[in-house]
Amino acid sequence: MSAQDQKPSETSLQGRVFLERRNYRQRRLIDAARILPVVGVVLWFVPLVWPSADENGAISTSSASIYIFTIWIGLIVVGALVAWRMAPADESPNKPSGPMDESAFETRRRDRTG
Amino acid sequence: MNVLIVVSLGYVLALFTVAFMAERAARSGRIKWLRAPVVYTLSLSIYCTGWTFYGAVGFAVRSGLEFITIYLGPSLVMLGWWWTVRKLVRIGRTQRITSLADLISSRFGKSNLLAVGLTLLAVTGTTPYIALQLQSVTQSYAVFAEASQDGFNQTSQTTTALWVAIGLAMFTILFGTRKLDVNERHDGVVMAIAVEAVVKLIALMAVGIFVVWGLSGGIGPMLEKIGTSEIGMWNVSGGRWAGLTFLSAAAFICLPRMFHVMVVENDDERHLRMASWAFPAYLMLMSLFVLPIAVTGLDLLPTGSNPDMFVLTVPLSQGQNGLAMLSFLGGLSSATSMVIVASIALSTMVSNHIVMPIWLSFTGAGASMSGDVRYIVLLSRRLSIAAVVMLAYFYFVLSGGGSALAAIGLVSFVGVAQALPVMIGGIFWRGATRIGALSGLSIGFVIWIYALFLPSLGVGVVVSEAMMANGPFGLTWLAPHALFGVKGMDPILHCLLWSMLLNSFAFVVVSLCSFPAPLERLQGAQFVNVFDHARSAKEWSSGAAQSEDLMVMAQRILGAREAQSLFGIEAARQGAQGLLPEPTPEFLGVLERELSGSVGAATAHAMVGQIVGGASVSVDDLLAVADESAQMMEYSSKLEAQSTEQRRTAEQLRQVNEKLTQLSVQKDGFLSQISHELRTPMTSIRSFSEILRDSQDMADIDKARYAGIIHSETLRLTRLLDDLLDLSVLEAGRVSLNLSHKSLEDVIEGAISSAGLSDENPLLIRRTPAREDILLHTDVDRLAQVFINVISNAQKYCDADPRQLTIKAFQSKGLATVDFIDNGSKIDPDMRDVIFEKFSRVGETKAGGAGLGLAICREIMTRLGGDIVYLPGQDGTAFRVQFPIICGGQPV
Repeated sequence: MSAQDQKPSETSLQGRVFLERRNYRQRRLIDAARILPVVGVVLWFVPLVWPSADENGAISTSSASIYIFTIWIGLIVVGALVAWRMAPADESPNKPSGPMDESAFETRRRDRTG
Repeated sequence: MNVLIVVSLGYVLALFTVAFMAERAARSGRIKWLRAPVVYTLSLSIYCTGWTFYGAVGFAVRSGLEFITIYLGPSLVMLGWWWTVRKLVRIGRTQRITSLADLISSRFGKSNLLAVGLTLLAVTGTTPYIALQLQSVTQSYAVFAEASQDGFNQTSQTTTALWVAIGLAMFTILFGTRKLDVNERHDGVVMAIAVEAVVKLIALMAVGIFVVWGLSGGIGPMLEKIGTSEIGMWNVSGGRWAGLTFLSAAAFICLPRMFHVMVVENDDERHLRMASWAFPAYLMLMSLFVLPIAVTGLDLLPTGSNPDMFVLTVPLSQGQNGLAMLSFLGGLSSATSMVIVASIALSTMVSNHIVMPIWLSFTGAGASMSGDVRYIVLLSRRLSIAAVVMLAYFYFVLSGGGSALAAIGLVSFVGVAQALPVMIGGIFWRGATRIGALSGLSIGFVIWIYALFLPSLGVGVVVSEAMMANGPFGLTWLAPHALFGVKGMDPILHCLLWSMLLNSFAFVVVSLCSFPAPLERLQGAQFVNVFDHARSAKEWSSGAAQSEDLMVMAQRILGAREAQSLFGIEAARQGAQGLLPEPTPEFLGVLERELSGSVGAATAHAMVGQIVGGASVSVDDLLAVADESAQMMEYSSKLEAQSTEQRRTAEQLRQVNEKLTQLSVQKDGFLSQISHELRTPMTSIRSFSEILRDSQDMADIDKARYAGIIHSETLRLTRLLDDLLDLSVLEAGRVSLNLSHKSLEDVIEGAISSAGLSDENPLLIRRTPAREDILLHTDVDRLAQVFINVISNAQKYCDADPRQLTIKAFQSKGLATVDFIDNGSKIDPDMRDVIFEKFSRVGETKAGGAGLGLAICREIMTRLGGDIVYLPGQDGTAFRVQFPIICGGQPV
């Protein structure tokens, strides 16, 4: 899936070794979106190694809930950030950037020199 | 009690109004706010059913924090939207998928068998779940009835359930089957369930806030209270923690109702971005107060009260009737929205994959269909909805609404999760085949039914106690809760483990071993590489398809206006006048996709197939295409072979042409030569005969001399003419052989003496007479003629000094071979081809031959069954004469 997703954008960037900063950022956001559930699984499966009630060092339900809900909130916040930052790329990948956009400036400069 | 009925009726009426307004707004085009991402996110909340609304608290009372796994799985799936959900939604949109069964059947070559199997699985798994919703509604009624001291017995419970069921079926039919094209979305339904999502969240949170801040005095004391309660310590088995998380994640994407809202009702892929974090947030809020409510219920209520109803009973016990009412509405919302969407999803499957195929096969060809198919499809959907809801009602009545039903939630999850391997395999693995999918699903389905579903109905209902303990026919390793001797596992985990393992195993192994049909391979590529190319499979070959028939059919399914506009757009795109486009494969693909939005991929494919010619036409066409390309390849290789052959022929022709040109040159040379040869003696004869005629006083000696010259010249002419005659006779094959016995030695001896070797320019002949002691039975005179010719050629043309000719003879396998090798210069390689031709001569003639000798030799040797060839690689010019020792005795 990963390779296929990136194909169109890669072919549209024929001949360029490095991505523009904006596209680079988008790629890393997609990476973050991919890795997020993995992080969630790892953290939420930590309770698998907790001792159970009748053993020494048993963990109270209230601390357990705090642990689980803290992870939950963290994942939601990161997920929201990723989704929010991802927005422009998803809507129109080829939309021209605004005048103050650093990446657009970069593109223009490259066009002029190249 | 009466207040309750009024409130719930009012609430239902409000929902109707919301749905109606939403439909109206959608039709008038004001749909922007209807299709906001937040509506999509809220519609996903039908995951939280009445069972989760009430049951989560009960679950928490029984197993502590374990209840939360039911929310963790879906949260992970949505947070990982980039992996799976995004792809599902994209496939659903590009392929016009109408249901889970449609997705899988479409992926595996539009197989209706798979669709039917999945429909059965979905109905079996979902019907008890709908029954569970009816139960939760009636139970909550019962709680209020008890509180108001009214008599609310078993009979009134079933009556309530019946009214609820009828009401839900009505609502679903009214708003769920208004339009046919599922991809046009059920705006009313989606809006209603979004409102219900808000209601149930507010209700649960209101109860939670009341419990935490109203009864316990804040978060700190609440946490202390949890710590001191009977579920105060972490006591969750690792297996169940991981297993249930996985199960809820799998169910989240496989449940028919979830698939429906998530994929089918999805209006915009971008909505996923918001849902990816907002839906986990919703789930988090839904589960936030479960533990406090559970602990408070355990604390406040008498032991033995039903923990599943704590959400209602805790506020009621504190006299908070308004809060309890809100909570009741939340539960009602959860239950109703689930039933509505589930029955829409199921009815779509049943109608598309069971009713329509049967109806189609009964009514025959698509073009000759009578009546409005749209009406038929809608009718079959409405009937399916009613049937599904009523089935659930009867299930509820028969099961008695006891604890057996409460356990069905997870059982149902395991059932629908059986579609997971096939679904994930189908969208990520091109090698997955239809047979593999069928095998995996069948095994998973059977194990689920046997090891979990039937036992869950209660021991003794279908599965006897003895069978549970000892397995069928005393086969202990087949005991439903201890398959293959694995005892003591939690039944849910046990079934989940075995069914998923064997399901995936069968799916993968059979897929690896089988070979997919062309359509399967096409669809597989379309699904797996959906982000590469978003067009659908174009596998129709037109030909027999009649645009008008297609139009008639499309009008019946899509509606006249929609069909005409679709055809018009296509016609315009093709550049055709009027409304009827050519039935190109592209157009047929588009049409089929439109139709599949109404009746499912398999049925649409079959319907177009009936008009285009045969339901399996596309596979045949694909095969034909494959054949065609094979033929093309064959043809091109043929062409290649032909051109090779032509090249070879051309080469041969060029060689022949060269030879002919040479021959022609030689012939011209010969003609001038022969005319010279003829004229020289004729000139002599003429002049000397004139002298003899005109001179009266001539000495006798001169007369004799002139007459002698005339005579010898005449002989020369005669010899030339004899040669020509000889050759023509030989060539015509009219020569008769005089066979006689003679030794080779004698023949060569005679030939040498006849060749007339002159003394002044001697040719030394070297022979090995012992080798020549071969008794021949052939035409020895003709053979001698050949030898004479070859020897005299050497005599004439050998340019060495001293000159010698070596004659080597030997025999093998009944063949005598005589080589004549001189020590002169070799014959030019260019000339070797033509020396045996008539009229050919090597170089400028020195000895006045007519160039017929070797031609005659070859003709003679052919007659004798042998050959004469130029022998290359010797010191000088060399000829090999080869012939059978006994002429005509044995074939050469």
